Amino acid sequence: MPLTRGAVTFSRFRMIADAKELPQDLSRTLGRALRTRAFEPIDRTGEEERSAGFVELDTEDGVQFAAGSLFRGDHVVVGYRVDTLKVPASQLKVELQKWITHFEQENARPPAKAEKSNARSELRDMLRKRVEPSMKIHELSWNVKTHQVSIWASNRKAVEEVQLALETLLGVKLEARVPAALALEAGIPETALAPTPELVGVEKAEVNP
Amino acid sequence: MRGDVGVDGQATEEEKDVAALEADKAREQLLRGRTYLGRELLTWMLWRSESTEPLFEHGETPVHVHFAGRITLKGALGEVTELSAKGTLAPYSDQVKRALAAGLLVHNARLNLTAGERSFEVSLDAEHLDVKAAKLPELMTEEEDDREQERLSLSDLLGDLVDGCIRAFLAARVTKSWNKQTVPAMRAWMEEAA
Repeated sequence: MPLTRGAVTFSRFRMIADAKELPQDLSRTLGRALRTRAFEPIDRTGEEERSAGFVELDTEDGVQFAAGSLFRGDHVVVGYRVDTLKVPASQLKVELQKWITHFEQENARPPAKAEKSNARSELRDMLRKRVEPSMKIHELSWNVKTHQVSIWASNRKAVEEVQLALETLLGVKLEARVPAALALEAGIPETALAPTPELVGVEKAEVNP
Repeated sequence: MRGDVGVDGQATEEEKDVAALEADKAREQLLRGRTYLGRELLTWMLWRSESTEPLFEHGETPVHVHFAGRITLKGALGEVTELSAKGTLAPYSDQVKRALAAGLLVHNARLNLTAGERSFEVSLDAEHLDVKAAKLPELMTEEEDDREQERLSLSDLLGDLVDGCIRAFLAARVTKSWNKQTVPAMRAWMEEAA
């Protein structure tokens, strides 16, 4: 886990209250909120190929979110787990071919289109029960004093998904720590943020605010 | 008749279309989320890093920056929209300066941020200012739980240092001397290698 060892990669945000104040009394409320968006394993008998939700950082399937599992000094730390279950096309193809060969031996004719389709469906269901889902856990840390949030993922889509999940969960906005945002914090007007033509080569009029 | 054509008129026309699409894409990348600010920031930091003066102070601790390793430049004009250079001294090379002078700015770089006795090696990108593949300073604590908290604190400090770089850049950028002195000085530095 990048939070605990090795080189670190994270996207940086500041938590801003949306319509209401930032969450208070976190030790009591946060666990309850996280449980509403806790990770649930993929139902192998169903059709879903993906499942995502929050988990405790120390255990990949812990979803109780007791205060002791969430807080590290001034930080809240939690995982966002994404499981995907996909039957490899090549494996399905191999199994289907075996079935076709067996069918032709038993019936002295090739299978009809509908028979083949039914077999493919049944083989897919069988393989879904055999294949292990791939699991990815993205870590999230939140300094509750400074309201800095870090999403520890290198994939941009993953960062955006975790960002949206946290924003939705707590009714807050996560503002990326980029120059435009810090300029706004400092009260620098947008008119002062046009590109520098001698460096960028793009004129002021070409920028859409 | 299609206007200007080469020996193989068909290929030349298609190349122009592809080049126009690339230029549009490069321009869109530049303007999206004001990425140009991030590129100006990283380029300004590269220029400033040639001085021994600290970039800014974090609390009372001077913070220095030094670029080392891979650097990627991007631009929205001209035939070259992206250029990468590898090598410990690559960021300070004449080739990079010539590319900067031609309108390609720093989009991604590996650099060292040093605050007092603490040094962080990190890659930054101009669009999101994400911290990538950062090496934290050696930990002082031994207990596992304490080490985790220390890593969190050091990561927060690294985030603060990146914010500090941005604030120092913005402070310079909004002054009158930005256009009158800083930018001409940066251009002169880029054109040293011409």
